[in-house]
Amino acid sequence: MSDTIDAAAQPTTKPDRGPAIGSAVMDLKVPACDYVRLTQGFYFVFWGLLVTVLTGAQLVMPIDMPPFAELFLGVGVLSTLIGSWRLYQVRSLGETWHHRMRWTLSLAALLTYFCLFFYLWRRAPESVYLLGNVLAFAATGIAYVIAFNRVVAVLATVLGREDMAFESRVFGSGNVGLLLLPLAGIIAYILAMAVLQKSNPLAEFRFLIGRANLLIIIVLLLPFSLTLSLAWSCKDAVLRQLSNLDHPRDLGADRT
Amino acid sequence: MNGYRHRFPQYGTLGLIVLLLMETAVFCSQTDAFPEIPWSCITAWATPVCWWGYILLLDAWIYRRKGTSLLADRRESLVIQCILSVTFWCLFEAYNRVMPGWLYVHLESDLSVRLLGYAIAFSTIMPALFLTCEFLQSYEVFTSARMPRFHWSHGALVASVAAGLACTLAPPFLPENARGYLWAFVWVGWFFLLEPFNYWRGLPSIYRDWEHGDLSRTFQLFTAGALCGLLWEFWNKWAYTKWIYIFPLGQSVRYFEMPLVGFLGFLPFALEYFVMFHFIASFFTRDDKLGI
Repeated sequence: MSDTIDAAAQPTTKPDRGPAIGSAVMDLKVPACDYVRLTQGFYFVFWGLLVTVLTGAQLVMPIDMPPFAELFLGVGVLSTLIGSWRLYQVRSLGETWHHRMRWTLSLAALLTYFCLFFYLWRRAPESVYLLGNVLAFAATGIAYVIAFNRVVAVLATVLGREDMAFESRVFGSGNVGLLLLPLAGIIAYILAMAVLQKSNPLAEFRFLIGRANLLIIIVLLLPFSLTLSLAWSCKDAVLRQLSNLDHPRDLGADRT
Repeated sequence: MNGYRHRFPQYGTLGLIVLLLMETAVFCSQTDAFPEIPWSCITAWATPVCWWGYILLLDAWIYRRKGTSLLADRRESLVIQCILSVTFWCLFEAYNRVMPGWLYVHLESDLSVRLLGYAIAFSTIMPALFLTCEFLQSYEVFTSARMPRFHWSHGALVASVAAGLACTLAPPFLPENARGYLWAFVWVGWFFLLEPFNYWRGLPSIYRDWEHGDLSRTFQLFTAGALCGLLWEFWNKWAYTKWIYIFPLGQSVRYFEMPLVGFLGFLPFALEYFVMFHFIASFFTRDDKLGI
């Protein structure tokens, strides 16, 4: 049997899809090995992002954490990087996918880089330099989630899943509105206070963190959880495509 | 290598002139010549200016010998190197906040100018190291350095990753008064951590060189690190804006500002930058962007 699957021929695709989506689906032949990469990629991104967000949110809060808790952050970020890399290796989903994945992978690499600053900042919390990089870590994480939603939109189009494409657009906008803009506001506030009132950026940061109550945190974490659910849906959708292979044993040969 | 067959690019002459002018300014500042001129305002920029002059000069020299060079043919690679150079050095600066190793003195008070100065200075590290290595290669230095062949077992590579993780992550966890002694682990840690991945992924790899019994690139990078280290400290010594070392090891015997024992760090530092560059670049291209 052929090692490629016509995405348009899959039963999950909707028969009443629009002409633009339909033509995109018809043009692409997705090899089985790329479905495997997609599944692994989304799986790693899901768990990686989940661990990163949970650990990161707790580490920023002024609460006692066990020693080496930061290592969980490293595990989460590395999983996200590995997942992004697997997704980047998928070449059969067109130029738009590749272009957007390139950005997403770059952001995952940057996230890994800034994670080290987060880890060092926990050792020297009085350093403004390290705090600046921690804020950059947060900004990169948000940018990653936004970029990830844009990637999902491409996949959803290819799979003919208009519902997922719509969700990815809505969640992406939610990330901009609920995460990116507040973070930009926090950074602008800290900078403005430092320049205008010569205040200590660290003190301002601690003040803002101290004011953050549970409700705000839940609202802030909501867009992350929506994107995570999208990653899980993608993994399921791709697995469904894989399970529709008529000769699954060819998958092993394809993988090699 | 065939001698000097190609023209010497003009930017090389410019680099030499810039270098000589800055050296003159440094000399005047130290001898109180022309006291009406505020030499400190000029020599505050000695490090970045001297290093960019050095890069221009060295690149032109390489072009003259090989007919190809970073600035002439591989400008995209130069830009990538500059960005990665700043990026990686910022990481070592972060370590420096947790385990103090050096201090900058006479920094510009204006933050935007200071950040610009940091960026210009830090961006020279990687191009300077790799150009120096390429320069040595053009003279076929150490090309016959060999060692017995061997094969890396999977266990040895995993052990290297584990050692790298320990070297890079453990020092900040240790007691504060012990951290200053542990810079050696940071300078080798990233090499041990990332090099096995480069090996596994078929990228330019020092471990593979060793496996093939080839020590040429290793020694060339060591020498490039040592030469750049000498120049870093030489140009730093009399600059107005400069760094001084505060790590608690071997402070009594110094080479310019650097305790002599710290000088050993420049050798693995060059290897570390080589490994870090290929590790990051490989995510986006399989072309050898360095060519060394």
